[in-house]
Amino acid sequence: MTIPTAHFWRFARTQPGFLFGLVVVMVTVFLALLGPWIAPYRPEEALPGQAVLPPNVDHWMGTDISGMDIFSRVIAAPRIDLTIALISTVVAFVGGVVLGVVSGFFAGARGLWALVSNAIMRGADIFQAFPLFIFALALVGFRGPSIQNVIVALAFLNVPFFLRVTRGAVLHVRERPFVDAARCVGGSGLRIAFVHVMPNALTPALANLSPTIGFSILLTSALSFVGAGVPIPTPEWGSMIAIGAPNMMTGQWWTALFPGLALGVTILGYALVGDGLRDYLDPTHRQ
Amino acid sequence: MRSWATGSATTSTLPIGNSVDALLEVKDLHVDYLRDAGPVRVLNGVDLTVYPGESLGVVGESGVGKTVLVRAILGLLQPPWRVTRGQVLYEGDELLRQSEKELRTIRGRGIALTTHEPRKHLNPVSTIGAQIANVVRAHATVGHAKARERVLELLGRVGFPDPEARLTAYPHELSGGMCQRVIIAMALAHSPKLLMADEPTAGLDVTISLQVLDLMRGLVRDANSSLLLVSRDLGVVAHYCQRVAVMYQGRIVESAGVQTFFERATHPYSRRLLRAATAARDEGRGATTSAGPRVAAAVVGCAYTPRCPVRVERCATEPPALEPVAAGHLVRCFLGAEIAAGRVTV
Amino acid sequence: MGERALEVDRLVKFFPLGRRRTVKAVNGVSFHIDRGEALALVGESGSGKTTVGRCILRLIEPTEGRITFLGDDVTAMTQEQFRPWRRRIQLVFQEPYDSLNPRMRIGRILDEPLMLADRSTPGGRRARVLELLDMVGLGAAFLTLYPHQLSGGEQQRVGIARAIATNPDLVVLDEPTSALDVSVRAEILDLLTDLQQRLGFAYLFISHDLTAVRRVCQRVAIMYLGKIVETGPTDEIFARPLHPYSRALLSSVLYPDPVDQRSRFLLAGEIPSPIDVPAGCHLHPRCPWAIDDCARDYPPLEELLPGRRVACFLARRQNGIAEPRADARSGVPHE
Repeated sequence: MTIPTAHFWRFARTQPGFLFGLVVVMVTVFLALLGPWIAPYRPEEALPGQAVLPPNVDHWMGTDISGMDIFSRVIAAPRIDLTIALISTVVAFVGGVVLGVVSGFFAGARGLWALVSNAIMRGADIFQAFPLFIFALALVGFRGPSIQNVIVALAFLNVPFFLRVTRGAVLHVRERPFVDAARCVGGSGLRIAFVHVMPNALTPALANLSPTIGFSILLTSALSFVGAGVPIPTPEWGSMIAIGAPNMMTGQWWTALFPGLALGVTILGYALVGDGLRDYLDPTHRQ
Repeated sequence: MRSWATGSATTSTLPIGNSVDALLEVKDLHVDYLRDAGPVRVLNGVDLTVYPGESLGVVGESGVGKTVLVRAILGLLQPPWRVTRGQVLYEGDELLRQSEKELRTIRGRGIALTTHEPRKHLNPVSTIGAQIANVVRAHATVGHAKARERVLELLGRVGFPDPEARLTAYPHELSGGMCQRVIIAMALAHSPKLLMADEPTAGLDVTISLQVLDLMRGLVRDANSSLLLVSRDLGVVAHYCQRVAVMYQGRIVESAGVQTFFERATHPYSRRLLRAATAARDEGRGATTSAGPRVAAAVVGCAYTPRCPVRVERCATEPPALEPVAAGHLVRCFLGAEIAAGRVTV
Repeated sequence: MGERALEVDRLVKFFPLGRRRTVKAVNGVSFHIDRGEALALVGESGSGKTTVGRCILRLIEPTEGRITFLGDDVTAMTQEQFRPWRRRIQLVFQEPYDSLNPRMRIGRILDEPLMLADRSTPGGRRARVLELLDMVGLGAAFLTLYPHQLSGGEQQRVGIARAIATNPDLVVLDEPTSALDVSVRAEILDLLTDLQQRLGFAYLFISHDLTAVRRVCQRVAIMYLGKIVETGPTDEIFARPLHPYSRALLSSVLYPDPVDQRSRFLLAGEIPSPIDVPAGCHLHPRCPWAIDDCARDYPPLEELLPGRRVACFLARRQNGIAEPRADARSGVPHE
């Protein structure tokens, strides 16, 4: 898929929410690449005798209970959060789209492929019926908390989602005459499904990439919050909120507020980019 | 069994020139379609006259702006469409400057419109009885029983065999032909002086098309109304209209009485259309010329220049006017007189 | 009579609709096409003409009946077995734009059938793609364009080039001109006739428009509600339709001529839905000739004149054709 740049910017200029989202995405990507280096303190370093300081000139967002600089940790966190979200979402996207194309294209057919199509859908049902937290906790219980486990858990969670939106689009696209035309020139079922149908059925999955990344960051934080995610003291917004929560109750509001704000703004930004992309990819927007 | 000849119009009754007051006059109508990248001119100075009691066929291929024209006449265009210049005179009143409220009294009572794709223009969740009754009550305060009576009468007039039973039918239960009849019933509810029919037979089967056209012609004739029939089918126009206006790229390029037109069409584009249509009947092969390149940019002069086999230099630089080559026969072509006299062959 | 390209024998296609109802789209249709011959299948909506075409291409599976292609029974094959045969039976679609993959360039659209059909080199295929573009009157400039950048007529030319890419024996034309403007229509019909004369494949031309098929086809079969009601040579049917439905169809064609002297032959009422097909002759509720017999039995498709088969009890009487026991073939009064 090619995105004509000039046309893209003409579209983006008219959408302030989309522009805001794009800025958020760019900032998080920038921080993921350089955050730990531009942080004023080492994010995992506990400064002796400086625990729970309120925001001041040295520590813009204060320090937490172990004396770690919150600002440094907030800008270092995207490296972990974004990596987890990006990898898990891309894995889920690829898996979900492939399974969605197969299950949609062969739905209602006869023979082996119909069985495959049905099996995929039932598998997705079972997965979606299974609570994520139980799954993640079970995984952690088996293998201990680690970044890989969070990625695996999130990827599994998001596969059925991409599967369903792609399948819906495929069911629509496969009825169009050019699919019959592809069959008439002698293409095999799989070839038609992936060469002709899939490129025309990607829009909904693509439009949902960005919001899913945002949502995955939230889930990563949630898993870390309950201790099934990224191990402490790795800088991560969720675990920072978890560490800071007890201090909130005693009036040290900065410990949880700043990572929470960062998390909220990031998720909002990714969701807005998703909305904008969906409008942009909508063919009626062209011309 | 009837012959086609008796069914079609006689040209002798044709009002020519200004001897009769026009019912509808469209003058120099310009309509733009506004896009991010700038406006696109869709109607580029349309001139059109409909006289009382006559039927005028507006012919053109898809995309020439026929539908935009009828909607502009009724003031139905919404942004991003915009009328940028011109006049629409109905019985001498300028419609383009009238308020929405004033226009509403003309729509339906003065000028009515039937659309193509009739099913799309009917409300799918309301019965056809209720929908026609709504139209009946739009311009008159009538009681429930009176309205129902009128609806039944209208359904009967448009050829529903059992109107009573069809009152409660929903649009999806009716065929395309029947939906078109419902639309015609609505259009005729207030006995308009002018019925504009936009592609009334598009999407209908051929044996059903004839029924609908016959019905429309009969109803218009009985009420002594005028008919403006928009179609891409020259056959329909030949049989159901007294005058023809050919539209090309947002302009009328030729208008003439139906017999004059089918015998002596003059504009190179009209000739091309006619050749393509008659080729089907005469089985003649190689009768058509190539479509030639498509035009991307707007042409300053005559829009047909790039495809025209007899173009001269000035065609590309200045637009020709719609001028008479004979009484009641107008052509928008610098070579119109030459072609009509047979000095130039197209 | 030449070698048979296609033979369709008592083809039936029913679509179940819920538990009780069935759409009887095609109900016992038989016809054949010789090699290099063009046969028209004409009918209005609900006639089943498109369904016949889709069955022949195995885009849907027939309920009953046999389709023989160049002597081989293709209905007995599985989809996978039929796949190599596809290059020999091709289809041109009604919707020129929708039949082209919007995300593929024209060059790739035309290359695909070649790539799937043989193992020749990309260079050889490219030469063939250029040759195909030239054959349908388009140039090399079209190679890199996307379908939406083409006009309707150009899109249909690409559709035709794709269909003839593998030198098929039979091309099914499914309303190839009905989505096009009048002036473009004539060009496409000329192109189709021209290609057939040069390359000699057989056509099955499916259409609702009698005038379109007249320019291309030697023989016509007219369908009404899932059955063929009349077949015969195109010129003879145009000159003298024998079945009342054929007569009505022909009479409904509006020629661009205000002083048309033909007499009109109109049918009453609507076309019934193929779910509720009238008993007896399907046309009888609309037919001006109908007698009691018509409501009871479906008339057989009989040869009334040489090469002309008609399914109507009254066709002989109404057309002044002698009963078969006399030597009908010599005593036929021609108009």
